[in-house]
Amino acid sequence: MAIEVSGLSVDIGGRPIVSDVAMGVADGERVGLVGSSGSGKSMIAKALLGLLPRQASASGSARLGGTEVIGADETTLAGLRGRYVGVVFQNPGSSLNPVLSVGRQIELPLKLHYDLDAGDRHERVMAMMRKVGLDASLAGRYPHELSGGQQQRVGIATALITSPRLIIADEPTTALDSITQRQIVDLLVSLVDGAGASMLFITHDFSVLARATSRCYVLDRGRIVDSGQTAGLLASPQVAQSRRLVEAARKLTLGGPDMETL
Amino acid sequence: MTETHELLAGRGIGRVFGRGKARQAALRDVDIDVRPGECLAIIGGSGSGKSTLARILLGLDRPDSGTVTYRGEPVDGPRSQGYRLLRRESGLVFQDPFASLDPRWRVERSVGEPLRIQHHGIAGDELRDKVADALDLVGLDAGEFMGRYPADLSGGQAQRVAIARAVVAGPSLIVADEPMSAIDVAARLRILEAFATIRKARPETAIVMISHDLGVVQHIAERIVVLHDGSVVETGPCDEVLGHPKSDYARQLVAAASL
Repeated sequence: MAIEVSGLSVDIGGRPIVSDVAMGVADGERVGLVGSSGSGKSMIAKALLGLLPRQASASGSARLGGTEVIGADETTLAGLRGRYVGVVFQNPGSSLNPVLSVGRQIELPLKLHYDLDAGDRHERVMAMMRKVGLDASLAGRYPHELSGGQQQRVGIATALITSPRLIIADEPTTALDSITQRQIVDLLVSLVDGAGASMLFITHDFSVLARATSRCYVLDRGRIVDSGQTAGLLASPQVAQSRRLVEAARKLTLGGPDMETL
Repeated sequence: MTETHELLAGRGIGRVFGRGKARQAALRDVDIDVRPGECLAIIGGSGSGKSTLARILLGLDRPDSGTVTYRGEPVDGPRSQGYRLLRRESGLVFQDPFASLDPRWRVERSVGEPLRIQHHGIAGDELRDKVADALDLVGLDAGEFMGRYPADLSGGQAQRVAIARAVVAGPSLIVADEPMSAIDVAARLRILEAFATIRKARPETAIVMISHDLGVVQHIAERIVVLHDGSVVETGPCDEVLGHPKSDYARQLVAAASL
């Protein structure tokens, strides 16, 4: 299993943010985690990556590729982060280092986690840029010189350069315009499938989830309230919270129902 | 004179950023009209020039070529008659509600601010009633929300507070720049409903909605202007643009907003 979570709870200052969550992502599977703002979905991602804020306390179990991360020491976590799991964040404008050129940005995880010579690294960076659709001429540019879509392509290249077995994508398309959103989702899916990796795709938007995942979990106030095949959940949501999210996504889709009819 | 029929009009608007090699046209020869009481959507991707156009139409930035008029008066610098009228009669809504609300002010004070500025001496019950009416329009219970600080609001609630502030002084024009893109999908519906309620209650108020997402504006816009690379590539009634997009770019937008 790429991800195996059971009985995971996260409290901040005694306030429960995530409560008794159990979920799994099999090797090679793309799974969604969907919920409104404040439902706790990013906190689950942070717990999986060992990046919880200092005042948070986590209990239960979360395994990435069989390695327990709850309570794990920094060495274990650092090893997992660079090699086993790659992360794509919501806002590439702030997750990229503004003083690193595109080429160096993408190269950094290789430098930190693998013992390769400079020529080898350069070759891999160029190959990865081609894969994510970035022209080689952009290698010397800085993040602020790129469009939001290009920045997110750099983010994806940086996450994938170490050939991780698992990608955690936390709202990777929310900051992008609708046409770019689609391109980035399709790119992520093809790269993850091409590498035979797994993906946990976190979003508030069911319409994105349908393209990105085959199965999903619905999170509401820190609890998993529903799960199943994404297509099935979209077609006939049974649980109230899922219905609310699906209806919202449908109403904001062309060819969906009118405002009054739902 | 057909010019005076429009509330807000831009003619031949061009805007260039940078110089030398980095010179880039953000807007090219854009014509745009906003009619009284209509809801017009300006649609385009990142970098299409839609926010630049909005800033120019509002007199917050000056075009390198072309003219803007409000009620037939030129909007040309802070002293111009058109600009003064426009500032008095318009309300603005931005993408990030928390950046547009003062974190130290309670909702009542934030929403009431435009009224206090425009009607010197308004206070007490009269001010309070108008603030309550505006909150009611956006679907927020005045008793519950007036005393809250922005930190006690969700993103969707904060954006509705920002909309209440934009509408409180009874503007002729509301300009909303991506009011829903920072808000989660479920809360976007509440914001759309707020705009729909405002349209019913204040039919004389024109709304300009700037967005990248046709799915969001389909329920509210009467007309759509599609911007791409700084040029208007398509304009027409909402149904026509959504049902029979003529330009390549509009077709891509329609595809991106469909499941």
